[in-house]
Amino acid sequence: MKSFSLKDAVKNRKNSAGASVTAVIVILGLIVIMGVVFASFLSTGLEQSLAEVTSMRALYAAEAGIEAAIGHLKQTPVSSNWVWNAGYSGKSIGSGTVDLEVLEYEMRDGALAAAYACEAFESQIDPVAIPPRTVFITLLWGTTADLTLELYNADVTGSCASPPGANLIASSATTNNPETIRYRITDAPPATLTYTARVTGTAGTAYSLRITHPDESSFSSANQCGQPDGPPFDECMRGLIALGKVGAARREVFMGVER
Amino acid sequence: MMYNVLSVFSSLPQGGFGVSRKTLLFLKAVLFAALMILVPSLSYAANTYTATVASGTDVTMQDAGATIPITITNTSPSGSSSIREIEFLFDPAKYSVSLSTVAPTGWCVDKVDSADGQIVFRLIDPTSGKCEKNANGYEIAPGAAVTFNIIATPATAASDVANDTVLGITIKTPGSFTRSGGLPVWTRRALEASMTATPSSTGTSGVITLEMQVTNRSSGAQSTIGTTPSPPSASSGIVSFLSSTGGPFYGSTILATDITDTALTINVASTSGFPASGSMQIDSEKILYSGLTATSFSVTQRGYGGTTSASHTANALAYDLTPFSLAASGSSGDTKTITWKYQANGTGTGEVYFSARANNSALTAQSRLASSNVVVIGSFTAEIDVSPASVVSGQQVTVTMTATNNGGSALVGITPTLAVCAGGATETLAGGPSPSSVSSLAAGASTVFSWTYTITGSPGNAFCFTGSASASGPLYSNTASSNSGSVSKYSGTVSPSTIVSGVAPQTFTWSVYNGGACALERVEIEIPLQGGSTWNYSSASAAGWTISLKNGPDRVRFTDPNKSILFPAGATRSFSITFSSTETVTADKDVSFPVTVREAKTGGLCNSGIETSFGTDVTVTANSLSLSHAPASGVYADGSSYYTFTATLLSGVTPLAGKTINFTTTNGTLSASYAVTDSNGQATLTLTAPFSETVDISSTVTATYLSSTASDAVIFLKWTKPNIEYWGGLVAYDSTCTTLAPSIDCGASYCFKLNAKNTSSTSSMTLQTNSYFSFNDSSAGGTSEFKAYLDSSGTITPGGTSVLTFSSPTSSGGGGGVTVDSNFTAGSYLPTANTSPPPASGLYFTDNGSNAQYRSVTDTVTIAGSCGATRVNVIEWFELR
Repeated sequence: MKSFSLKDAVKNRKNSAGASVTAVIVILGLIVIMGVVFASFLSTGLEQSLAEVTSMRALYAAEAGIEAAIGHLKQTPVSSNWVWNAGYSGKSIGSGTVDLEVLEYEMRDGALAAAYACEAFESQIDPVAIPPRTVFITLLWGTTADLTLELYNADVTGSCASPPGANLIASSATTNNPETIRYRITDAPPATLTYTARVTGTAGTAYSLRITHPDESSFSSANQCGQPDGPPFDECMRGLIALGKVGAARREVFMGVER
Repeated sequence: MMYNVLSVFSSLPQGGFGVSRKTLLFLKAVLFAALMILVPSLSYAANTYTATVASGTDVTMQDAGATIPITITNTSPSGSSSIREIEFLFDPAKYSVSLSTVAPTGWCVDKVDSADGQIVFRLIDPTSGKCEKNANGYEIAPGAAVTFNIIATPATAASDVANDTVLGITIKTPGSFTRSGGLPVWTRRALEASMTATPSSTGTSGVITLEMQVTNRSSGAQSTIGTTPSPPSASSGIVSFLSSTGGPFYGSTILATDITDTALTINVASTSGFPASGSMQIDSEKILYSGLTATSFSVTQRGYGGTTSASHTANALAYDLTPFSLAASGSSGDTKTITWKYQANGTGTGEVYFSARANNSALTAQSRLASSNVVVIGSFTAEIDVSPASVVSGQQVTVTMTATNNGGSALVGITPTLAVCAGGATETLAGGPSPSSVSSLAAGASTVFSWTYTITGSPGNAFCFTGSASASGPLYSNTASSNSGSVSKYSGTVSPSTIVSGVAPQTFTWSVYNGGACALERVEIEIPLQGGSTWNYSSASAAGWTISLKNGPDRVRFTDPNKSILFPAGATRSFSITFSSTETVTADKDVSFPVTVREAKTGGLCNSGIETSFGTDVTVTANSLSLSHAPASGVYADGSSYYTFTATLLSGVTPLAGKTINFTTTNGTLSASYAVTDSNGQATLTLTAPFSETVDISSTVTATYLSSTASDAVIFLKWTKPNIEYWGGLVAYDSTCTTLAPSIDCGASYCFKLNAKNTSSTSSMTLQTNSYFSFNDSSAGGTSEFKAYLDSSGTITPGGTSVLTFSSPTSSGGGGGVTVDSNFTAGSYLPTANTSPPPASGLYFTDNGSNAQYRSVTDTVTIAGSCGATRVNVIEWFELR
């Protein structure tokens, strides 16, 4: 093994007069690379932070839209304000806007007496500029059984065991709990339409079926909702769907309320 | 005159001044001859007259009732001849003289020839009753003047026509008159305007809506219609024009939904009548829009014209701010409406009306000066109407007094007072007032008292009535005067007097009253010209009468085959005519149906066969108005129960929203004198029963919109049991009933006291403690109810009044105070009786027997603003994305 003496070292130093420059370059290169990487990390974090802020603002816009709508629904006299369903389209809130649909909200909870159950509901498309058109149904249950949800564009309660396939317009048969269906009515106003939510699964399973849809014809501030079920009527409740928009961010909130 | 001339002649000198007798005789002969020539002409030149109309006289094109008042003045020297027969000759291309013309007192219309434009007036012979030339005391003596109101329909033209006149006027008897001065001139107007002020009674801070309906009667289109002055002038300073919110508005609709202060789409009941782009006003905000659909506007600017954008609620009125033009008229005329708003100044009371002319922008087309109805301003007002206004001697009239409570609280014990005015006729009370009094009148409500009078007098005698209403306090209304009526020899009405545009087939029935001394042998009704007209005669009927068509045909003649049997003096007979088609109009239009009757020649005074004409009119409306009520029947005359009336206003099949409908009634109390139509064209109010324990009471409610009317009759069944009515004095105390409550708040306990009167004349009632006083917040959308039971039982004797105390939470009585629900919605509530609770409302009186009754309280209960905020519970919340 060759040993290095001080002399050699001096000699070598004389022979490597440009090594320090190289080292500096290398070190500087490393520093630059690290700086770029750090800056990149920093930039990504900032973008993510900004997106989160914008998204939160969109959520707040949606929440504010809901609050504004509830404020309207609560005005006196309730008889004329609770039936308000004009909603908002591009309503300015803060740095963004909100679109909001005011719908009827119904709780059609029950238990499967057989392997299926049908709940018909009525929706009216008013001849106004922007009529509410959304049907939003959620189905929850508390067991391990797997229920499915279907939507028909007619009253099929009379043939609930085997409804006409031609009337099936949407379904949700996932392994999720809840199952949800969101459907947009496209019929031209004025129109009074009847749809049916159909639940299938194991007989005896208790479920929560929440149906949100455009107001039925008899919607009022009184307790007379539930068409076409007939009396005893349910309370007329409200479902609100608000879409907050800030920049490219979109946040949507649902709320069901009662008086 | 001749005598004087001869006297001069004979007074000439006899052979003096150096003139020979022969020459003198020659001169005398020449002078005599000259005088013989001059005297007649001097005599004729002295018989002169003038024909004038008042300065500013104008008539409206196509107006079947247009009246030209020509005054003939005998300007001959005293001692000259009197005028006994006059002929007016109109240009038939410009005026169609009408049979409906009524001659001045003592005169008669001898001849009407509309084809030649001729109308001749003579004097009524006092002996034979015929139209003769003999003096009768009404001839036009030297220095005297008589005005002939000639009814003639003016022809249409492209715009106003100034200096219209007659072709000639001839004094036919005596024939020696020459006219002094020019022919009378007047102006033919292109536009027709009528104004309606609503309501006819309002409080000292009330808002008055003034509507002018403008119709183009000319053959030319008229642009940018406005008025002079603008806004119309008010006759009194007790009202002021609302400069920022008072118009002028050129059309209206109502909001179908609430709108925010930034909404750029405005949904309304209908955009019919609005231009494709323009401006509108909702409340105090002006809005520019650039497009429309049948039910919405596309907005380009909110808060336009210096106004501030604001939110507006559904059913708010949206007014068109763009002046309109009127298309060239057909026979029906293009029509539109201008609206203004005024407000009483807050202190003054009295009467006010409005006047203005409509005009186009170039002022080449104007209307006659239009005046509105009178509006009475005051917290407690009375209005009087007498109908019919034209009667024959001995006929009965109905006088109605409408008493309105424009104050803020109920009035009790309302009674009317009526007197007759001096008019020449004799008014004899035949019945009334009915009812003699009204127990209570809620704020904003009105009630009607009616009388029946028999009118006697000579033709031309006038009659009218004056009166006021009083209430406990005492409070007194204004002293009102009725319209004036007059006595005529014959009278006639046509039913229906109003039809909807284009309705067919349509039968009209004329009810003619013979108030003369002779039987009538012939009744002739002039109908719209057949052949080319939209009115097509189909058939006529009158039991026993012979029917024939005359003159084109434009007259339907009913002749008694036995001359004097069917229509004796003092009788009323009906004559019906059916048309297979009627007229289609876009504006309300009056169609004239003159009636001419002919006396039978039965001897004595009845031997002249005199013919007399009088006018009847039918209004063809562009809108249809219907009226219905609920329940169908079975409401008691207990002073508290009520019918609900709904008026529906349509233009064709389209509901007219935002229009003010006026309501009147012949009996009972209306909850309001007017109501505004909703998006379905419907306006609703209630008619509360009068009190009657002896007879059933009938009542007819009439709804009116411009010329459209609709009536609906109901029966109130007599109430024979004890009748306990609210008699004012509703006051809230604390729960111990000792200290007045400054306000009523939710969550606190209260005691209510009020006065009650037993209006029965025979039956007493012992109220039990399960009687209650109640009100609820359902009118505000709430579900809360306040119910306080009577503290202790007690008897109210017939006619007796008691102070009742309600502070018991249970039907056992005992007091202690009743708590107002914490969810009670703040607001003011009128405890109107609900005979089918829940929710309970008003008063429930029971003796635990068969006399239980629900009664309304006509004062309001105000729940403080801190109460009853609507609570909303969140059932479900989640994010969708």
